Amino acid sequence: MKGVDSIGVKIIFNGVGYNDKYQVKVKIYDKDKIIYDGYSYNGVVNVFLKRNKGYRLYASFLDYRIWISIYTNSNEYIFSLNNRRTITLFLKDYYYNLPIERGVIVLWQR
Amino acid sequence: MAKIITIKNGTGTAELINDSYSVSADVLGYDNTSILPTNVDIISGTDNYNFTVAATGALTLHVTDSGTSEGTPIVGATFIRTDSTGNEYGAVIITDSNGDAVFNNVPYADANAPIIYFKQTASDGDHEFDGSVQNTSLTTSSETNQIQNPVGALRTINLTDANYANLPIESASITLTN
Repeated sequence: MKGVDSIGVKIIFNGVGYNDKYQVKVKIYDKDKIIYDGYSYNGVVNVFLKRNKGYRLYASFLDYRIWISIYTNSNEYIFSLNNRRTITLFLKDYYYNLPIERGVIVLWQR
Repeated sequence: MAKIITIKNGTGTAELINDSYSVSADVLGYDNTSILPTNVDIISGTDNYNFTVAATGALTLHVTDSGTSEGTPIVGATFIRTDSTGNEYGAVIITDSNGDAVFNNVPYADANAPIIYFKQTASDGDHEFDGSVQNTSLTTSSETNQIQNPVGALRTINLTDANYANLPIESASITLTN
């Protein structure tokens, strides 16, 4: 992937996750060919991409698809992502597997 | 930032983002430090998460023929925890030689304690029992409930000759097996 026509591209996913960065599974396609398949680290994916070329970037858990084109000398692309979804929590008695009739669970973002 | 999720009948929902969370609980009657897991990663593709919490109370069921502490103990009576509609949870407990069966790890609180539902599933074969869902609550960590299993009612058994109507059999025995 790295070559004279390539530049190092820093793709940043800003959000409200750990250190305000989303950790996302990322796939980058050149047409139908996967050229990157991995996870962001601290909200960042570093990858070499060819200039003047269109790519499809897929951040899987958000089901979020975009096109990224390297038409300029810019090598930093920032996506601000803030997507919530409904999570269901089940609370049962440890010894009896009996649903707890009433209570509260508190989740603290770490 | 804390996300507070209210649990009702074992379930609660919240809008959450993918992230790592530490977990605490506030469940009346239970040991809130027993919440498991204590950390949870909300991840893509998984929208349901399970937690458990444990209690430390003990409910003793003392089963006698009179339903009092002075009655004759019933040995071998069985009970099981249920919800309010009778669905069964956990293991069966059995009365010992003193007529006692103990539900351990049940909730208690000095006010508004959670209701504990249970039902009797058998007696010793010689006594009647109430198989419907019963309930109680504990205001202290260890309490005893008196359960009555009365002796079966006196029945009259007639044995006559099949070929001579109404002729009683003078001496015999009949065995009934339940």
